[in-house]
Amino acid sequence: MTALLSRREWLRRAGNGFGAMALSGMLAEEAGFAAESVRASHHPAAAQSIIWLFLNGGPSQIDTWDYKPELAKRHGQELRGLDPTTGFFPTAIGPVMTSPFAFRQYGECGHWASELFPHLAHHVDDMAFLHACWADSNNHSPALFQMNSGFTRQGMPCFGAWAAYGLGNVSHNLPSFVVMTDPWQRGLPKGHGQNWTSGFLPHPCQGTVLGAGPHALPYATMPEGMTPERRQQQRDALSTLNREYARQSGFEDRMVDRLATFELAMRMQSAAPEVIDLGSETADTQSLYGLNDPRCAPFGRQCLIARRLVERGVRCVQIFSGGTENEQSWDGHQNIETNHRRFASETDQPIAGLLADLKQRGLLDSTLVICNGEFGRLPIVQRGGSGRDHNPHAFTTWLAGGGIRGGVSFGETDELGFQGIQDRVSIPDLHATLLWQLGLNHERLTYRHQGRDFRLTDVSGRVIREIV
Amino acid sequence: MRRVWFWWMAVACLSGSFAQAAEPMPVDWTQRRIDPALREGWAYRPLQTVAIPAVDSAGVVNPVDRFLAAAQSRAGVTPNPTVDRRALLRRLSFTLTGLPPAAEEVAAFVADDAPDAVDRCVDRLLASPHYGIRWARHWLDIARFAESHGYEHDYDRPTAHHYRDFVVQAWNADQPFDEFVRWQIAGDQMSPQDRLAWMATGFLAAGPHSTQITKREVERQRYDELDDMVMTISTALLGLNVSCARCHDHPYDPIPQADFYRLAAFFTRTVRSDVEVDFDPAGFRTAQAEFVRKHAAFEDAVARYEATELRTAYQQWRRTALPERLRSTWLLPSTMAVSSKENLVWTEQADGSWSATGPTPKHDEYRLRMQTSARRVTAIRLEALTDPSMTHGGPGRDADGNFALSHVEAFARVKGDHTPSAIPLARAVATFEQFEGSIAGVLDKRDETAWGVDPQLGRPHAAAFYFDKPVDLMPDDELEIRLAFRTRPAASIGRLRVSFSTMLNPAIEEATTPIPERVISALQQNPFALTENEWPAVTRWFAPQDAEWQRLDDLRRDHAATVPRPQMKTVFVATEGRPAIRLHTQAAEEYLPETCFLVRGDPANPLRVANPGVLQILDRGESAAVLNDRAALAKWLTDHEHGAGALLARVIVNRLWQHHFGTGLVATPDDFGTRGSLPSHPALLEWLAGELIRHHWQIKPIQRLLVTSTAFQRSSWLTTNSAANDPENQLFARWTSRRLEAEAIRDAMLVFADALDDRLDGPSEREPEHRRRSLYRFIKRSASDPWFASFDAPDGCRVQGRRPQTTSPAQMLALMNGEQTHALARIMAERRTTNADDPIRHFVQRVLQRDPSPIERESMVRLLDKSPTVEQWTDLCHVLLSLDEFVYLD
Repeated sequence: MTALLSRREWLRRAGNGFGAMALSGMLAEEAGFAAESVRASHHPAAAQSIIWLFLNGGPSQIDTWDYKPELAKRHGQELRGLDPTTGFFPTAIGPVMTSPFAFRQYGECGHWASELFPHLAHHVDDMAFLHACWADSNNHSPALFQMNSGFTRQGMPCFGAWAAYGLGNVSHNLPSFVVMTDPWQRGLPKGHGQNWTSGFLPHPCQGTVLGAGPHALPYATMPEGMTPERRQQQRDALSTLNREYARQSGFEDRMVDRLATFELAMRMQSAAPEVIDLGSETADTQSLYGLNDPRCAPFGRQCLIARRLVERGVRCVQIFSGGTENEQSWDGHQNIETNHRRFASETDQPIAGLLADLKQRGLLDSTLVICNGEFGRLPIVQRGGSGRDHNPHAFTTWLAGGGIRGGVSFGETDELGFQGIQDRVSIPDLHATLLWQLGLNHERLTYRHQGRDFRLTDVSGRVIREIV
Repeated sequence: MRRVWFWWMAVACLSGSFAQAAEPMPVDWTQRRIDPALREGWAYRPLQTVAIPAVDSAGVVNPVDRFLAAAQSRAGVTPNPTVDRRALLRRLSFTLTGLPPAAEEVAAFVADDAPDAVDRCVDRLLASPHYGIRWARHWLDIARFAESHGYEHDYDRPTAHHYRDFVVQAWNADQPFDEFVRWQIAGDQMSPQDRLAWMATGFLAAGPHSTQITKREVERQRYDELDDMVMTISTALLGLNVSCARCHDHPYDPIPQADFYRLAAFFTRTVRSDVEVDFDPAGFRTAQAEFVRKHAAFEDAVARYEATELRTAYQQWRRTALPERLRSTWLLPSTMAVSSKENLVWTEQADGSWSATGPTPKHDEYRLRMQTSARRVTAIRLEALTDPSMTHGGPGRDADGNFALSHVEAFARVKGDHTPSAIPLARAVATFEQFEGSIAGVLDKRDETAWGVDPQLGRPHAAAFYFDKPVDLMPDDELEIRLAFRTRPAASIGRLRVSFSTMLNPAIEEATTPIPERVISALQQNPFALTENEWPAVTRWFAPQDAEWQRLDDLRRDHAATVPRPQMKTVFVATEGRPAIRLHTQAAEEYLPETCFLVRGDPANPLRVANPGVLQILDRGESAAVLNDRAALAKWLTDHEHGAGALLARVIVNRLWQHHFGTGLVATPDDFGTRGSLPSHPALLEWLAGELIRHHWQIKPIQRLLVTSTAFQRSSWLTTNSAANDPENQLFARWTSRRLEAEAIRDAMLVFADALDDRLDGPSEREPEHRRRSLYRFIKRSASDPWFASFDAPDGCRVQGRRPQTTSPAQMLALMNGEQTHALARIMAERRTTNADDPIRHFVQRVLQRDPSPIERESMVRLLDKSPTVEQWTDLCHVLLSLDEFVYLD
């Protein structure tokens, strides 16, 4: 009878170890994906984590960060040559509409900002602005899918999942990709969970939705009536029985992995309530995020939780501002002024607080903060109201920290902010840049599926070195 | 388009032998032919004749073992011994039915000494309806099945489950796999009389469908849908991802870009549709014949009565009737014809009214042409009547049951004269007029105003229109009334009756039924002198007043109400020429009139129309000329001599192998191309594919072969010998351990708790607490169930021939904290009283089908007090439901 071999031994002998990038089925199967610690990056990483503030619905670039004085001059004039199918409503084409918001310059860089973000505007010297971003779709869900997964079709792995797949998990008790949805219970972004799916990547890469309250993580709460003592007894019995089975059957190594997974699960169970409990944060910190202002406290809590997650090693945190229905998100079709004032007032101070807090704790260097929506808005009014329709040709993304140069602008739109005319940035360019800052080369981060090596950036993508 | 260009460049640099072989590139890429020699690749060539190897070792009977033994001895690998009967039954039971064996079944199997014990056991499991449930799930993984549309709104598909039911029934009935495939591609065309064939087309329709399409994206979305069909068909059935050739020639496999568009062109007009399908046509025919036979007796009774006693009753009544009963203000004309501009179907009712059926058009105009024996007409009355076919019973056909009558015009038509002369209308009155919908609006010639009856819906209404001057008619002249509905969309009258009057200024008489002209004239006559021609009109009018006739008619009606109806169900299908399911879209149609070759995959850059055509690499037929519809494609796909049948057989036997042995003979089940794995046992794969065809494509004989092999019974221990010589277990000298799938884990728990509801078929279960097999849970694309997702269940967005097997803390949390696990543990605990003598043994037997060891028993006893509470028993059961030994199949 030949000797039995442990699986770990088998893996070693088979030379089937975990390569720098390879997430073989073996790894996921045998070692417990989430339990696996850091994997090597392609190059030294500038950022350890990413916080993605997703202004769901498509904020208007020309009413926020892309100042266009020409709009006032041509207010009321027809926009000649406009393809009526550019926005969502081909029959609601109105004339050029000036921004209802006042603009002024901030910081040493003198970047123009509208009155919507009075707190955040003071951080322009830490922010890099990409003014000529563009998307493929003029429709929410395909555009959301593209911004999150690189493809307008649903079901492809999202950015956070790729990051988790590429880098593994440094947090020993939290998932590596955490999502927080609209804090006002206005619903999920269109397409729902497909916006943080792991697609064909292993399930542990999937975004975990962190809710509010005791059920913050799925299945992180003990069944009703269960006590910690009884749970401990169950744990003991389970490990004895599993060990006994392993001893008799010869599957000892798998048991080690499963036990590690079990311990991790138990730690997650206690880590989730701890991370969302903001009681240990000082009053100063809380007010920095606007927690004492009921208007911005819900989003402020999420920003503060994002910082706490990043501190605990979470790779990617994504927060969605805005819910499902059009006017319940940044989708200002009816009235751009009331819509954007409402959503900006919820988010301005929390985001400014997040940047300030990360900076004062020295975390901004290793944390990349990115903020945008799925597309921009047209310089014309949507007929029948005072809102703006979708515009896939131009929108602004800003980034800060994580090795991004502050106070710079890259890309330029035409005089009305309608479309990019110089240094346009595609969504794959954006993804390539984010991965690069995390130490990953977007062309080498691949996953074989149905005979094809898939990439987040598919067949394009360029790292925007001008801002790093 | 820049990104697409990059792909093209990359392809130009990377392309393998096939692109190079074709150099220099022809100018027109749509005409490119592949090098015929490539058709001899191992995956593409015709099935080869393979001899079963002769093996020295005695006792190797099963051909599968003989193929493997040859390879194992060449590699110097010693196969593992076989497992005991208990372990074997667990394997067989989970593999074939997805359920655990009962402890009693294990005991009986262990005790069965007969040489055919295993064969009988396998036969029993293959015959279980749970077999179809288990294997349908494997198939649904590659059919990317889900029950919602996906994208923006992710609306449910409440009729999509019929596809799932088809798959279960097909596997349970061991439908030949070639027909199973053909029906999924073109069942509606090939066997339109068979409901299962319609249900099968849910395969094509199962993919995501954008719920909101802007004008700009119409083309791209449609090509995405065609792409989804092509990708699914090619990867699920053939292990080739033809979708890779959408923007350029396939970078690795011999699939020119044009082949993608030709394949897509088979589906140019294929749309998702809900069709009514008869679920029991034979039963309906039998019941209908029976009904007709029985119903004749009731009809006869009425007819006999009408011909005899009713006539006497009429004659008696007529003698004493008051003169005013023999007159009527409003008369039904003797002949009447109703038509609609938009081709509604009109049916005359017994009461002289006409009811409309058919789709409600936006605007319409009704024409009513009538003849009367009256020589002078002063007014007409229009009744809008109720009918259960309309909302609230109508009388209108709009969404509320209201109507909007825009205009009424009357004409007199002299015989032989083509131009009718208009009869001016002086005034109109109505029984009820809605706010801002008065009867005056009918006469004012404006489309914006109309008569309506909201909110008095669900009851009859009438309007009388008075002629400016009485109209004199000659015997053959016609009256024509035109009713126009132009004010609001789809708001016409669903059931109407028109009568006329000869009196001056007749009252509208809300409640009276008009008497037919012919009856009026008969009433005037001597009741004893009526001719057989006159009787029917009189009887029809008089009968409702006679009590005995009423009784006989009630009997007839009661029986008529029992008329058998076909068992029609609405089924989500893919087909052509039927109304497509439309969601929010700015497209004119759900399909584009033609599929074009797109330069670099760009819908804005079509080259010309692509005609349907098959994959060159797999085509050796002369049949190309007749390939024009899906049925032809379906035949080609399953034709192992001239079409793709050989590869189809290889791919499915490989999938079968994978689900029995953990890894396929080709380790990449969805990719048989050059980037996929080579077969570890090419001869065995080839022989199995041939075996399938020799068994007329029946699956169960192949599975019987696989599970009765010694290879299936080998232990899963890893020995130094096999670790050194075969770390990836390509020689199958040991069995590959695996974690149970999400569905199997949950279903087994239900069995342990005696809580399984084993109903088959029907709508899916939306509540996570349901107790049916997990196959029947409702899968919504935008909201994956976290419990199932944590155990790697697919989300229905893409073909998934092999599920990943992750081990993650989320699984442990789902087991320990999931409400279902806890609830089922609780049920197990509560039922312990029936096994009060030794509950621990009972529970361990349930979950593991064996007795607990003393060490195990000791660790479990620690969870219990002297007189344990139900919570403590629950804790114990919960531990058992989380055990490695349960969750893993070793």
